[in-house]
Amino acid sequence: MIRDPLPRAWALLIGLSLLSAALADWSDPGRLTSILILGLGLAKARTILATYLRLAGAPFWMRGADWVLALVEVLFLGLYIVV
Amino acid sequence: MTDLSSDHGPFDDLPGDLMIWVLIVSELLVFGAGLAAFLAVRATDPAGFASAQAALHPAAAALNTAVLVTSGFAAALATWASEAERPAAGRLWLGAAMAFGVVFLVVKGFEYADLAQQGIGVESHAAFTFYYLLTGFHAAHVAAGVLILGLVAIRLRPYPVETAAAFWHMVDLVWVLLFPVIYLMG
Repeated sequence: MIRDPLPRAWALLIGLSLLSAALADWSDPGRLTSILILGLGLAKARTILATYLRLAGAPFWMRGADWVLALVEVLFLGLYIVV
Repeated sequence: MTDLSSDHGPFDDLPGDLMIWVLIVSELLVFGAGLAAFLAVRATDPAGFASAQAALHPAAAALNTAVLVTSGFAAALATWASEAERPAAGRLWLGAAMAFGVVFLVVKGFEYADLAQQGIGVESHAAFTFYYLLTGFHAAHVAAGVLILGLVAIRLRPYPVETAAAFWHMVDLVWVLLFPVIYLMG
């Protein structure tokens, strides 16, 4: 178990990237797979904001970033599902 | 009882310089708008976008994701080293972050060269117009980031290193949003 937040964040980012690639490669990327892949992308974005950019130590701004990421998810999913 | 004499506000908690955050938010808005436009135009021609996506190189892009998040890790360690007054370690980590940035650009160059060999250009399809616009603009940020990291490594001090690393993390952040939308979502 990695205790230091920086290497833990890096390992998480690599793991989430591998999972995204595996999900896309697993089958013809259907709608559910694509939604999962987008969710994993946003989880990576949150990890970068929280740990690399240190927003985890600033809860007010982290909450703001979470709202922005949630809005991005709704917008992208809305546009994707329209197809 | 509330301490009215306290001047502590939310901006005091913001890590790093306020202006770098203004830049980060601006860049995210620009790329976010570009990706939203990509998805909106895709809705008008899903079959055309799917066949264009099939010509892309998701494996190269996945490799580049690993390269860029590793580079971000090195930049974060450079920030930590400069704050701990360990200039040699700081320069080493900045050098590693720059080297990974160059690897990213080389892989991207191979991707562009292969598409060009297939006769695919900016005007081949709307999907490729967005692809070249978004990934090309991002690659320009990577090149600028490598240069900035190199500049702050010359005279290593915590504030410039933290600011340069924040720019680099923004480049990383944009890529983890570009990657699934452009390469993976079917």
